[in-house]
Amino acid sequence: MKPLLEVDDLQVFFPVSDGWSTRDKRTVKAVDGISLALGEGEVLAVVGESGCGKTTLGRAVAGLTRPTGGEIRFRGQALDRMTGENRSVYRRQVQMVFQDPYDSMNPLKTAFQMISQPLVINRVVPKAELETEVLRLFDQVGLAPGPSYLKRSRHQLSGGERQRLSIARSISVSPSVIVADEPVSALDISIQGQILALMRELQDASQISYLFISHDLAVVRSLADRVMIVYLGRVAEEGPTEAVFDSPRHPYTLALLAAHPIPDPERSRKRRRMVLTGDVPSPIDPPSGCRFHTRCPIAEAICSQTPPPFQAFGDGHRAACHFADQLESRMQALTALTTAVRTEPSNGNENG
Amino acid sequence: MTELIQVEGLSTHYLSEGQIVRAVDNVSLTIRRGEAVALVGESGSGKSTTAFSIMRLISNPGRIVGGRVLLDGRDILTLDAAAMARLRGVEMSMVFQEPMTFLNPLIRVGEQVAESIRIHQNIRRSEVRRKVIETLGMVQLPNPEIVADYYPHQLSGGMRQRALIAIAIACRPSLLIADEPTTALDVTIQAQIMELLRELCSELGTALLLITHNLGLVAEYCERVYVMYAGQIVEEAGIFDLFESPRHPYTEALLDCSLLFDRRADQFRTIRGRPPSRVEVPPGCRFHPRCSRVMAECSTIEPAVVRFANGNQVRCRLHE
Repeated sequence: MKPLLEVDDLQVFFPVSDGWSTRDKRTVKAVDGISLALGEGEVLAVVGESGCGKTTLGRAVAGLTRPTGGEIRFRGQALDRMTGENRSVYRRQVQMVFQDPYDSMNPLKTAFQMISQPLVINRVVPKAELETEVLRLFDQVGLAPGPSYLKRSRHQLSGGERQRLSIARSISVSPSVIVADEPVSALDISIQGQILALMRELQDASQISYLFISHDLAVVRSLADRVMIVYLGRVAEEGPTEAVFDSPRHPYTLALLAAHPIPDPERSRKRRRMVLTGDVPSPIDPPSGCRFHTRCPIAEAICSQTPPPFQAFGDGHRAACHFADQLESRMQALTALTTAVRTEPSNGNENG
Repeated sequence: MTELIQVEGLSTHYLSEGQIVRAVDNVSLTIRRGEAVALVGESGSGKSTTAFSIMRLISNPGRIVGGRVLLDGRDILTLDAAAMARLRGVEMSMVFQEPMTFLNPLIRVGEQVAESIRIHQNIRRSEVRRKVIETLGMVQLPNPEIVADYYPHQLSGGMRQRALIAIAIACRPSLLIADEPTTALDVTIQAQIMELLRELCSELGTALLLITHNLGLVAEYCERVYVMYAGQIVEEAGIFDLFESPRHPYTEALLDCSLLFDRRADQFRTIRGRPPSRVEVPPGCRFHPRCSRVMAECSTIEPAVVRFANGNQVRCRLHE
């Protein structure tokens, strides 16, 4: 399958200097060499903690941030060489949904105005059919009864309704890719499911591809076909969702899974504990070698010297770790060691 | 275990645009010494207002309008402001969601910890510094001697939360209320902070009231749970009971909505409708417009609290 969207060795750097002083020449390396391919109708999740570059990656793909290096290609055509008509086609084809729709909505506009504007600009429907089309979109995203929403502005909508509206806005121009940046993390758990169900429904109906940016592993597990785990501007691991979750090959993925709360007391109290020490280092001056080595429980000398190449595990599953192929045995050795060091008698007779 | 905190029939109202918001409506709960209790609910359910009421940190336009909060059997709602100030920090402390909002940006971290020690303990100056360093070490801040002289902006999010916890536990309180302490943090840092809270509480014998919307944290770190909906407690249960056999349809629905990362959900469960507006609470059972097991009388008769032999309770007609 020819990918719809390709990102090749993307770099996005921001100057540290605030513009007043030119002395500080350092840069924040928000995205530092990320490549990805998004197929037609595919859901690719980008997972990582704050500061890992996932939002910057999404913004660059949506054309909202100019890359420092690398290339973004849409249907084989490079984004930075697109001009005029091609560029506006790209803008229509790749849409973005933000975490907090409140901030991405004009407070003075009504829902009707927000949805009709892209329809008018892109001449999707003739003027006379505008209202019918807006109501059709409302219906599609579950804003019912539609007519009662036409005149509401953003403060008259609940969080869930706002996110529905912002999805309606993004699908109004029939895009082929939606970059969704944490679309449900600001919502209550009882509302989250509604938005996720809507996103899945839209995808089933029209084969939209999603670049789904999230920190929530549970959401990702249920929505994504493929997952990409990002740490400090680089890809730590990627692959089919099942493979990455069921047999992770990077210690960072393992740590994320171990830290993610499970709403089940039986299982959450039984599972392997693995609490990382320290904070994520600064992307201004990232660690040498493997960027994760400062927090990695199984790091060795080579990890601080040589950036790890990707090791492949079939079906597009790959991990950038020097010990990706021996992760499980190394983790077991580590567990055995810490269990032996502990003095509590209750831990003494565990099976190593 | 003996009762440390007994909240009885607590009601806290706010005045908003001329209307009364019953943020907390006749809430009763108990926290025993050294116990980890969760207060769970979605935004607007009144869980934070309950916590602030227990600490008596409610200010205009809010007011505690009824009920009692007993600390070791003594009603602290009748204490004057000075007596209450002497209790805070010593008997009960609180940490908040966004540490930067509660740390003073102009004062060094060590000094902010020292403040709570100086107010509550009559000890020498040199001794204060030693205690500050010791407390910063207890919250596992690296190099406490150096960090003590940092300003809050020099700390990362996780370190700020540790600093806030240090202030809260400096005088070894009997109760620590943690209001969404990790919501603003990344998941690996969240794990660090929750482990720290667990270790500290068991070391100091402090009881923990964890206010959260995250059922995963509840499952892992608490022993007993109160579930709140629209200002009321709708269910109380031991941790295993709650997750195994939730009694209130709201609790059941919340658990159904929770996604697990180790399996793919074929269907995203939701709760129909949305939480009630804060001024117009539905009559009868407040959850009835969204309830999947609603009965005719639910819309008119407010359900009574049903208690079970094992101490669990539920506010639902299904169990009456």
